[in-house]
Amino acid sequence: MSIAHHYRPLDCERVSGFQRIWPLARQEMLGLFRTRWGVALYLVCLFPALGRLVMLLIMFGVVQIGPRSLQNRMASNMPASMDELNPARAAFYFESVLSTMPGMIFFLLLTSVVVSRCVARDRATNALELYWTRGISPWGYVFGKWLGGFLLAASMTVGMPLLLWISACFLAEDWTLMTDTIGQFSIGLLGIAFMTAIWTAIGTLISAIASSANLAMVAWSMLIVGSSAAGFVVSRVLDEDSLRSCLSFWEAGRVVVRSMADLPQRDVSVSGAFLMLGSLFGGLLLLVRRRMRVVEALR
Amino acid sequence: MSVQLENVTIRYGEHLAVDDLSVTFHQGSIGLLGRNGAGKSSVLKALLGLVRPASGKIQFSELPSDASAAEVRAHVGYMPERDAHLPQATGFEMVSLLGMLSGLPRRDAWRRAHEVLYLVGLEEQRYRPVSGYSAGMRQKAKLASALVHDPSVLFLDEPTNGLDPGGRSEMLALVRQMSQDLGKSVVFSTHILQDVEAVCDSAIVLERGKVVTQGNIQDLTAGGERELLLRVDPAPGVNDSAKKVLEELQLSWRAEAIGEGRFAVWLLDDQCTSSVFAAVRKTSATVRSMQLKRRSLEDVFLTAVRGSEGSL
Repeated sequence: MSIAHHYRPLDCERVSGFQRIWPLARQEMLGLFRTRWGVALYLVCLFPALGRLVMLLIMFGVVQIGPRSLQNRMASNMPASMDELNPARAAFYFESVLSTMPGMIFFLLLTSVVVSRCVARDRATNALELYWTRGISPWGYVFGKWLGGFLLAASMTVGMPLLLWISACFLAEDWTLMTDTIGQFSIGLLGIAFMTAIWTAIGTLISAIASSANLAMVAWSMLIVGSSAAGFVVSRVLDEDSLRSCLSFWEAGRVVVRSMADLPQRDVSVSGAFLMLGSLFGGLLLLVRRRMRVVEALR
Repeated sequence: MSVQLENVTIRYGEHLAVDDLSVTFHQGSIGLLGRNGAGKSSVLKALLGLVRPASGKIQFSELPSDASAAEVRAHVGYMPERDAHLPQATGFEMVSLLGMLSGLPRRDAWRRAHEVLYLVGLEEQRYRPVSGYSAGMRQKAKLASALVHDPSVLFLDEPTNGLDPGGRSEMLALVRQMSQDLGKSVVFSTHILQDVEAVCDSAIVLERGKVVTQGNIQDLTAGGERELLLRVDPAPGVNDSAKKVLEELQLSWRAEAIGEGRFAVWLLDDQCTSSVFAAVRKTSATVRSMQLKRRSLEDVFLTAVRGSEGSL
């Protein structure tokens, strides 16, 4: 076998820092689209936002379908309690993401397949040994994995509300909708991006602790759905609504975003929500420190 | 590039994995031998900058003495022992991504991935998922990943693990080419001593974190006792002729009967076979055949390990 013809010594400048981590994040972000099932799953997760887009088209009279009351909604003055159905209010654009149904369910669907499995899946195939003996550290690796998952989830949680809002701005008769909502919408969008980062970071940390990808997926699902159910039950039993935001992982994020965007909400504890998310994140970080030691991968 | 370990001690808590080890990995291919727990993996981890020695110094000849782990890894390729692959990735994606993580710009990583996959013989399978590869193909994919960033030193941990005879000889041929044609320094850690004999110029035997023997393989296998296999026809009309032959041989050498009319005699380096021939003739028996068995690396290994046990 003659190899000299094909093998050439490498002559290039090495890149460092973020440029090394980005290919990992990119691979993680686009991994879902490698199969038809993945593409289908992603499209399914866009349904809530696409539903809102259809609502917008009907409300602005672009398409003449659906009940006449919906078509006339823009003309009438809706009460504040119906802000989530009023395109002239910023809350309309966030509802497809922040609502328990469908927002939470579709977020769970997407992240349980991508984020919660990312590190655990690599551990199962001993890929950590390949990654960590390269030019990135274990924490650089976790950062890359998180970044990929975050960007994918954010394409749904941040990208779709942004798309809806831009569509509404162009569909509206004048720029009033844009000027009225831009401030609150921008802050709310930042809030959602922040919460998506926290949620996906927690999902990635769970994946880094879990011994298998399936276990990570179950733990992540239990955290989102189980804590919501626990928060609901405990708050009802103790007749203390603010407990929901302190016990439910999803509700805590929702409360934080609504508080940042100054959207109306009552009987919630913003500090309790921050405490809940902060303690969960900090606790997981401590646990992950042990699992991210290089010797773990090389045993 | 050569690598020098100077008085390196590695501890995991109370456990002493490597004890005051001083050894130099010169250019060429070097077999790192030892039983489980002898400290081979610890040495590899320390060389990769993954484990910090409790004391001592590791110096790569072309790197500054204070080189960071990332700088070291840019010059070092590591092929892990365990089956390892990136989930869902094709051979090309795996090798190119690992190249990018080693600091190659994307275009160079792509070009390089094609080259090394061709080199290891996976050019036809490079767009297939690695999870569907056979054991031999996966080993080759790991080797390609270790080579993608053009390291000067290659650490191969059990590269022939789980391979059939055909795959094993292909892998050994590749390893030989790494050192001979591409000028890489190859550190070959294995339990299979024949593999080391087949591809390495020298060997280092570790036992309980210490070097028990090291040197050029030809020198190692040349030294010490040589085994001579002897087949003898008994002397006609003499009772217990075989016994008498054995007694005669045992007067001068360590000797054993290993079958009817067959003997093993261990000769020292300076002893020649003609004296054995003469000794047999004294008993009137006839030597039918003599075969001088070359000392194998396995003999060297066992002798060194037993010697180290004896010295405890």
